[in-house]
Amino acid sequence: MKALLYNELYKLFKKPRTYISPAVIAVIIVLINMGMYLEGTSILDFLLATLRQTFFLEGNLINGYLITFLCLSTLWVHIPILIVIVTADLVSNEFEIGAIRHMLTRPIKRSSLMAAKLIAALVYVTAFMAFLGLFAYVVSTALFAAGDVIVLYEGIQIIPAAAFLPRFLATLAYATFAMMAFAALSIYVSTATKNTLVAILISLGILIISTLLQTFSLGIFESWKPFLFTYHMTQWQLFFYTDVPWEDIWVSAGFLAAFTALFTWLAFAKFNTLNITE
Amino acid sequence: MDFGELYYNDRVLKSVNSTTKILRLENVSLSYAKQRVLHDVSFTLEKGRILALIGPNGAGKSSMMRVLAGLVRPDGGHATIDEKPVSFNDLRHYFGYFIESPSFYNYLNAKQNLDLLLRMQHSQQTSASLITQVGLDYAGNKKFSQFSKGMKQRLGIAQTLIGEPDFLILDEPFNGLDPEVKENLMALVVKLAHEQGTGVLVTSHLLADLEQMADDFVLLNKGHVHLKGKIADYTNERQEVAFLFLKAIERLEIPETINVISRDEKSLRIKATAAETEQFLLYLAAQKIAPYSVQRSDLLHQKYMEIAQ
Repeated sequence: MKALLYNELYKLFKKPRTYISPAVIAVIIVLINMGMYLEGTSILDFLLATLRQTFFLEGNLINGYLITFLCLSTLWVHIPILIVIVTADLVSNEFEIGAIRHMLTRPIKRSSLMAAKLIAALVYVTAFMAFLGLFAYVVSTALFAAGDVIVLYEGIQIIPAAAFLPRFLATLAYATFAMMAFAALSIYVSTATKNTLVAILISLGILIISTLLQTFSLGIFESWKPFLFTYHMTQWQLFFYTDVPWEDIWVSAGFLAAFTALFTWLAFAKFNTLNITE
Repeated sequence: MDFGELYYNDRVLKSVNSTTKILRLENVSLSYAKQRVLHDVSFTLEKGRILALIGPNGAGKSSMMRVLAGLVRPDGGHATIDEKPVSFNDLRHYFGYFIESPSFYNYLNAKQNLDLLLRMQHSQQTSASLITQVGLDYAGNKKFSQFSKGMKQRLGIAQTLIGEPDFLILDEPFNGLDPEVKENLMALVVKLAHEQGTGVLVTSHLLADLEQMADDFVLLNKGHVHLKGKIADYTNERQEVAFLFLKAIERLEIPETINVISRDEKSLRIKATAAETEQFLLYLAAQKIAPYSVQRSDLLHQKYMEIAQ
């Protein structure tokens, strides 16, 4: 198992495709920071125009922590897309190039190979999210000073500067967990379709449909929300409420755990019975 | 056009130096979607010998290969190694498996690709030694994407040697290779069998190649064993061999030992054994005369054609 995991990680980090997503993320983060550096004040004035009629806002609202938060908030839609480029390729690529037969004609267990691939996906997702968080934090705090973060979620949420880092780290941990759910889905689809492009398209299709259903807040659509995995993925925002609603977070984490377990099990079941003679 | 027989070579003369391990398969049956593709197939593969699995398309060659590689489970039958029963799933421990057009990771070099498989099998062998065994020393650090077809086939053979298996399964190893590369690869396979004592099961749709290198054969037809035996028993008879030439051969002096049936400006028909044909081809090569085609219809070829038609 150790050798299989080493192999999977070796292939993953030797593959040029693995570095595309972090590179894209880095470019976007730099662009966000540049934009905020050059035009931040006028953007914020525009966004807070209504609020200023009611409240007196003192101090510099644009700070490194706010930009770090904005990076995460802006990129949230793109993260699953960038992750699926790698995770959807983990199994299907072996079929596409035919390497799967070299592996499975050897005395190894299929379930061990699948476990190694899933752990490699977890390592990649964790590394990707860590890079995203670290890069956003370092660049933003290098360009801007630290400060309190004001977030508009169901009213005004104020996060004191001292509380920002633990909340940001908790958010990253939750986001990693959420992305692993999506990675498990994409790995199952990758196993079932044996085709990377199809696996990417199906996974993103499911993501888009789930996100769209989540935006319909009327009638029957409202009752569907708790069953949409994208709804639970976006619950990371709860860490930026003045008073963190832990119960809601645990419920969503439980849902994501069940979702991950389901698709992991499906991926194992499919992989163990796959016909690899075609 | 068949230049394959031009490359008959002394290096591939058969000699058996080891029969310490014997794989015996008995009554192997396999069905896909309720359709029977193998019917009670039985044969024996010995270490140090090359067994050719031959037959027309749909005969069941690939299905048999897949059973041996553990890729599919047969409906019935059993396997023994040195008379000890072994499950079909465990046969993988004894085999190295070569797949037609072997595939590796384009972004890794030859050594890195082999290292992945070595690690997977906890083998103490090194990628460098495997690469040397198949004559690829010069390309060990080259990316797989830069490999020619012949180099890919050699790397495919190298990966079968991981774990020093008792037997090799080679499924169409010579497909799409030019004659020179094919000859080298055939010599390598013969060396592995006759010098290193590995048992080799090989398929190819090029009957002439298999006759040249194999010791034994199993002829499959529609999933049944149609005929099996020693290659020599079916190729040592003198048979008619037809040569076609692009240029006139009027001035060609034919050795007296050659039994000529007929000749005209651009064709020649002789009666010869496989060995005599080989000698005559070498003689032609020495005269710098290359036949456009050579057709030798030995008994095995005739048996093959009977079921192929």
